[in-house]
Amino acid sequence: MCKNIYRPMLTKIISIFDETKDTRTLRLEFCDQAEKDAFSFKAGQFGLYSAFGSGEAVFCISSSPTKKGYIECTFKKIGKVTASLRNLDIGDVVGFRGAYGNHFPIDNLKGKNLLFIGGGIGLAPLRSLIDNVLDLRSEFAKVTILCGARSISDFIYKDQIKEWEGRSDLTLVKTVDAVANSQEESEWKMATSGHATGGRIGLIPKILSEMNPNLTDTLAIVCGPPIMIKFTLQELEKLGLPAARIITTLENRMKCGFGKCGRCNIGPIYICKEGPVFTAEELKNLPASDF
Amino acid sequence: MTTTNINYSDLQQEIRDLSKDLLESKKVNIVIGYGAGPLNEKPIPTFITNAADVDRLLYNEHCYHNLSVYLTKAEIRPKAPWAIVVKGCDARSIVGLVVENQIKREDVFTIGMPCNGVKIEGNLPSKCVNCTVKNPANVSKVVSSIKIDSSAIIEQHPLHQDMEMLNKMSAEERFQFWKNEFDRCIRCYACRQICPHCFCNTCIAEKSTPQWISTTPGSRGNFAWNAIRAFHLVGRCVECMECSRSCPMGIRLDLLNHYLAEEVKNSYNFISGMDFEQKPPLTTYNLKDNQDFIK
Amino acid sequence: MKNYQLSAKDLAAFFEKVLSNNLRLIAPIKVKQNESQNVTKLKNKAHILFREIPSKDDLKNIVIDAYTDMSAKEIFFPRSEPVIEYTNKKSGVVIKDIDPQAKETVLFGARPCDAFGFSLLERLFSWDYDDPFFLKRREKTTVISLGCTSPLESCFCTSVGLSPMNTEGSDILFTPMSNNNNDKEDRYLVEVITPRGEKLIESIIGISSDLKNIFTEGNSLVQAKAAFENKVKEQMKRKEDFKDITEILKYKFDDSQLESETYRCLGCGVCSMVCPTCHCFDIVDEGEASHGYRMKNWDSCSFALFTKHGGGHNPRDMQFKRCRQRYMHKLHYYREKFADALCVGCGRCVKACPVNLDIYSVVYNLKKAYANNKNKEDKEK
Repeated sequence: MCKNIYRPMLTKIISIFDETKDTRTLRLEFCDQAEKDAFSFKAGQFGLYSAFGSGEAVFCISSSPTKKGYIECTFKKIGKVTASLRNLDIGDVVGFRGAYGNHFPIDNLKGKNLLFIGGGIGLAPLRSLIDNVLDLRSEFAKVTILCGARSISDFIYKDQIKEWEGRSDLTLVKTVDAVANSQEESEWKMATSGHATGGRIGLIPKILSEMNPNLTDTLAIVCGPPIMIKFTLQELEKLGLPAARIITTLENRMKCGFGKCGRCNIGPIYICKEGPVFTAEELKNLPASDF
Repeated sequence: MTTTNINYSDLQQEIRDLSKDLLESKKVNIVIGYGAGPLNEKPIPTFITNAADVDRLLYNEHCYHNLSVYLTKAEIRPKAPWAIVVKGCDARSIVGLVVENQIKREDVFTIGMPCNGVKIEGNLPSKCVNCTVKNPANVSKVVSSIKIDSSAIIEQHPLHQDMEMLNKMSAEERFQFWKNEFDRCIRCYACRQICPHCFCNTCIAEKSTPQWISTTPGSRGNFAWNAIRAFHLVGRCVECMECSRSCPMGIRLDLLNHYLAEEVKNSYNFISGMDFEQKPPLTTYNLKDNQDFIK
Repeated sequence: MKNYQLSAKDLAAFFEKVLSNNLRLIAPIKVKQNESQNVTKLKNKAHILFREIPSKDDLKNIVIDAYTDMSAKEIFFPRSEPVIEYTNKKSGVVIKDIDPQAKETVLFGARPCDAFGFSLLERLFSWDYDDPFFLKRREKTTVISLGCTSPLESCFCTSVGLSPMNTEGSDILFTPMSNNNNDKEDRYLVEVITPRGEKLIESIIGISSDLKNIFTEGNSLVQAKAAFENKVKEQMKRKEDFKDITEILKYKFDDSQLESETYRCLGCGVCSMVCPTCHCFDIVDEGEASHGYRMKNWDSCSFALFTKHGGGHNPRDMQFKRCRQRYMHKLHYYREKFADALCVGCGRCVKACPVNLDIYSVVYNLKKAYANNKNKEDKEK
């Protein structure tokens, strides 16, 4: 009982990646060797990252557990803590508590066809799982990734998407909500690389419907803004995927991360302890007006 | 007829009749008044949208809430036009809200109640002692023809002695006095939530980029919060004293607000909430404003 | 466990021994504030709060026959406390743990409802992750509760399955038997409930032969207490049983009645702050980037910002949703997770609410509507 559960571990920023004009990824390495050795997590878990003097903010761990020696977080500058985290430089210290919450049921995904659907910054938690799956590629069947963003410049992990496009062992479809002008439109539609087809234009549920994917023996893993999740789940069910085979990850405002501070619940379910990963079937039992 | 006796059941019936008319004729969508509360003698804010329900409205000397706070709440604002039961003191808040462009004068039908003082847990609150608006002014309709005798005004304000006490203190003592008060603050924000004039969508206490006020209930943030709120209310507060009634820690917000109201009266000859045409002095400027305080 | 009786006039001698045993004594006192010079003598709210009694001379300030405005949860879970101290210099960041300052403490004068509240909070603060700040203080505190002999109009402990003299959560229960008409003598029944309570009594009596004489055998009073307890329960005005509200609430989430019952809520946090079981908190940094403290501060689900996402979305965007959360959490979610409702019926929120929102009457009205509905349905069948 002596352990201080509020005490963060110390990590050092070893790389910074600017994803979009307001979104950034930090690669963090634990300062303490013993903590580094002891730390483990699973894709889908989250943590509380702190900028000392500003406070803590909750993000998922966006790197894969198969990438040893560091963790990554991807965040948008929206408030006090994210602004301070953004001001930090390589070598600066970030506090980290975690990993908290449940995780993607990766063992249940083995041998199945996987359809990843990520919108905007919602690609971050999926990336942890996608990289995890790709690092153990032979254990999974077909892999399809549908990712979308508001505009071309709003895509996060641009380099990684390019890398995925280059792989012959997965299918990647990318879409934007809108393009600025006809020149951008033609460039986007032509933007093929590797095995991927050109970019699409339209909201994710619409593109999903157009793709009309074969969903036999498939699990879909969905993450994005609340409104996108809502309509994507509806579309998947329309396409015939049972809710029990749709997995999503939720985010609510959190302070503690371990079921005490009392703000992340939807109905009786605490996102931080019983989530953040749920099947669409589990979500159906929760009150819709509490999301 | 000038009287000090009020027949509350008559007033209550008039509120019900008037509300019924207003709702049936669709002049208003909602009546904000008082209804029976769960504990004895404690009326509660009550909202009537259906003319058939007007008998839920009641009125007696325990109707102390200043209901005008509801007009700017997210749930009630879209329901305009409203009718609202107001005492003379509450009507001043409505004037303030109109003057500060928070509500449109034509959106609100004020049902003005003659009042000879309310009872809060059996006691006459100090705001009622020297009340100058026992017969409400600036309302759409005054209920009943009775006129309250308001000649019994005492020269001294009920908080006069407290003011004297403050004025006699040295700056350090006064600082200590207020620090003692604010140290008790638990940051429940009841003062802000019940205040008709705290209508900001995002309160300065909630801003985090940059953060002006520490949210921690401790000396530093508590002093900043209470002082800043008081400053924001200078010349706007109508001294309905709902904040001091609501404060669970008994912080002397009544005294703080009265002190500042006196300052405004002495400096600008202005009393808030009395005139639809007059803006609060600290929210306006004039090239002829006295500038000799800039040194 | 043993039962004793203690004459009221010997209570001070007991406290003196507690103090001379180097135990921290916390009890309700009337907190000094800047009294009004008001000509109308407008009653300043009497502030009865739990505070440390530092010395023998302060014993006279202990208030026994009134109810505290704030609950005693502050002893274990203060409104604000640092959880780490950080220093951020060129040489690196150093984090220091904070000592929870858990001293051996005797908490006197909590009411049986408050004491039960401690055991409710303990379940939460030890739910998989042990909160050392709460738990260490709890471990070091002996709770001596004071049985209620004249409950307030706002009290409803029997509604949530407790009683004015229940023992769970207390280590020792003092029941003032003098308030029972049948008892002529001004004395307390002292029921020792837990080994921790026993240890305290033993250590106090053990060191002093005087105290051996004042703590006399009390078994003879136990029966009288039971009868007294029933009498007090009878006198309580609010008796509606909350047991079946959990089942009703499960189906009431989107019911418009919850909205209309709570429509007048203004969104302040008074109810949470005075509540013995509300435990939601915020974590913020106080200080500069170079040095400061990470604080754990009381928060409230009534506040609009409580659940607002950084991106702007707010799952509880209207006040009635926030009220709904409060009631659901207390009467449905907590019971589902931790067996009991998160309400002890102390009625502090009822007294403190500026617009008289009343959890008891909300439950009462919901139950009534549910029963009416059910009757109607049954008839239609």
